[in-house]
Amino acid sequence: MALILPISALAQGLSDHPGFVDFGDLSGIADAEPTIEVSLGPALLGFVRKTVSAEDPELANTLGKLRGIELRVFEIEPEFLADAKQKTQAISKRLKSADWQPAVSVRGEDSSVHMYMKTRDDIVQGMVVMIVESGGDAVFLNIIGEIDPEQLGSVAGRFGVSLDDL
Amino acid sequence: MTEKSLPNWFDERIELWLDGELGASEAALFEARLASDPLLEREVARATNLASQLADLPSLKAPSSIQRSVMEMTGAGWSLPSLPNWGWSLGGACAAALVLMVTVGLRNPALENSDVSASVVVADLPTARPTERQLAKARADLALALGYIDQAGDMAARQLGVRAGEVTARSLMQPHQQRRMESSSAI
Repeated sequence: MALILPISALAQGLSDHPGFVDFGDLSGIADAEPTIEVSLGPALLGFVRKTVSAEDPELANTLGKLRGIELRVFEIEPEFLADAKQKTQAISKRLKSADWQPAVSVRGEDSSVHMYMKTRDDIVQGMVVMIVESGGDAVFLNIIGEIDPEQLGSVAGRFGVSLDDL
Repeated sequence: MTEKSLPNWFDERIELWLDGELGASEAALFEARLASDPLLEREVARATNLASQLADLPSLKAPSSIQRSVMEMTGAGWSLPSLPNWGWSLGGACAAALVLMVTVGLRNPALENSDVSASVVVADLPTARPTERQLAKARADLALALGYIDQAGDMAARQLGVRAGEVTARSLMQPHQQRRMESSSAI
């Protein structure tokens, strides 16, 4: 158990950050380990920022305010859809009680999308994205740090990587 | 009864993990297994011990004639390898060793109450430049993670029957921008 800590936001000193969210135990929403697991802390993000600073100063500026990224993606079979939705509802409830603001909340029959932001004095300190799609993925994403949300969504494209490539 | 063997995936990544060469997701899988598998823990300890013994060996300088022959054979010339990557590799190995020590410490009842957890934070912070491969992996991981914001906007737009950009732009606005938009709509 102790060895999980060094790669998580918890061990990177981010657990006290207002934008950090502990998703808790996600094992019940699929019968397997996450298919994608990403934990990026401030040190590695700092190195990435340096690599793009010359070619794209605006992107470097956006990245410079990020403190960490935690991503867990599970492939879910239809029989786990209800469990996954229930889990996102529980996390949503917890976020709301901790003053996270819902930005998008769409609940469909086969899918749901939730986006929350933690703000203070009009500055976004963290973001949570949860996507559940029947026969697809359950995505739990926490972006920690001072964020310029208008820029963030376009960052992926500026790295030349799209979800279809992966 | 035959002894349980380690899956190849983990066996092949012990050295990479010790050198800090694994990407975040692979490292996470590796470390999750390491936390619960005594066999993998034993193999990591063995590899760490071997690395330590090799590091203790005296450094011997090869005769210049042999050095020249080797360089000519490889066509590499006489330039020294760049030091930053070595620094990262050593840093990674040190971090891995520290993590290992922390784990062993936490499992030792005599040390359970000691303040070793603080060291874990230090262990994860790279002090030297990561390798190009690690940086490329980090960039891909970052792009992947942020790409899900776009996907969330697209999915929400499909559900709501509007254009994707409208959902994402409005939902990602700063709170004061949303308030400004709402007040102008009211007018």
